Amino acid sequence: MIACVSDIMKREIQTIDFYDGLAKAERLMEGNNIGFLPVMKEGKMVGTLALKDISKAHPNRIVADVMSKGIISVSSATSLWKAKNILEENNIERLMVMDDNELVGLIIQAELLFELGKHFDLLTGLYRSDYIYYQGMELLTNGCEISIIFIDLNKFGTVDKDYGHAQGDVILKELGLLIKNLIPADSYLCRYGGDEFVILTPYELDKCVMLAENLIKSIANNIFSNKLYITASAGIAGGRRQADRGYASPEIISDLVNMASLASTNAKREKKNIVIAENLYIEDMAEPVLCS
Amino acid sequence: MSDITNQSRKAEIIMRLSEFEMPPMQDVLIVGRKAPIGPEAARRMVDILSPEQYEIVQVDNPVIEAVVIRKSLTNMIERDKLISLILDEGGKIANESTIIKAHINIVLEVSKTIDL
Repeated sequence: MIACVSDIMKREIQTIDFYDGLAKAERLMEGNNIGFLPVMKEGKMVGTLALKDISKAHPNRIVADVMSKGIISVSSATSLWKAKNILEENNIERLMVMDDNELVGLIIQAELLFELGKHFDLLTGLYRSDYIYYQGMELLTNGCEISIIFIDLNKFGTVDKDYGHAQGDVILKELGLLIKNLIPADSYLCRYGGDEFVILTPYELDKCVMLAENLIKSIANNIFSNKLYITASAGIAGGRRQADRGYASPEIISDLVNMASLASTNAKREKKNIVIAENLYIEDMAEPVLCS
Repeated sequence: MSDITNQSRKAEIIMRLSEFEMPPMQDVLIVGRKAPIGPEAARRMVDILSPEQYEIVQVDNPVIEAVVIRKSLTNMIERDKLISLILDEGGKIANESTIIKAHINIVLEVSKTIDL
């Protein structure tokens, strides 16, 4: 599921008063080995003070006359991916965490990136499933359609057995790059598991099927290293929303991923390229419809 | 080298007394961007020494950060006009690290002609 800011935020934060002098601020920063202090006035956060601000100012000044007044903050429920985007968009290294106008934590970019590093697949360099959940929530929140393509390689175990796991890894890497280059900019890719890849799209079913067909065909036509040919099956779910859902929840995405995953299993079993999951909710799922 | 048999150390104390100027900033303070006190510190100072008599105006100027001005002056002349004048003249002698205090006298001359 989606990791959020409260999972990694620093909760004990050294602050400085609005009317304190810069000398005190500098002492606090040196003593705590930090380069930044939130500025408080009557219990409320009113700005931030960085070491670089102090170095440019006259040492006699009070914090209020040197601090930066703009406060960029997120709530503790914000996803780590969203926090990363906000840091990058504003070209800042720290992000305040505020709930109901109260300062409750601090996010430091280096720590955030370290945490997000766990959500990257080291072999392929692709994102892991957490990213798809985040982007899916963004699309749902904005009232967009979503659909999922679950790609599963056919008989990939034989590649490992016949050519070795190292060769299998090379193919997975090549495949990840191939799919990454084929999907449009408005779609999102992750490596879901061993030889499974998930693509999240903002498309309705027809367009999603076209994309899946193109991917399956391109994979089949690609010559992988060691002159190997690989085929894949795809399951598709979503893209058939009748009206705005009016809400966004990770369960919608996990249901769609499950349905697409089961549809891809059916596609393999039935030796079909693509299977479309029939119903929206997994518990109501009917027999899949077989395509091509 | 001769031995020292007598030595003494003395301190001379000079005291100058004068009346504390109240308020110490007179009519206007021009605060440089790197001055020892900034606009917020100036606000705090004037609010304590002369409550509600001064206002702090942040200005868009490469050298001057703010102007602290006696409110009674802006009752006589439109604030923006006065600030513009202060920046024009004060800007010629102020630099980033200075705080300049200025005394401003405004004399209004009114002349009216009436029918007899």
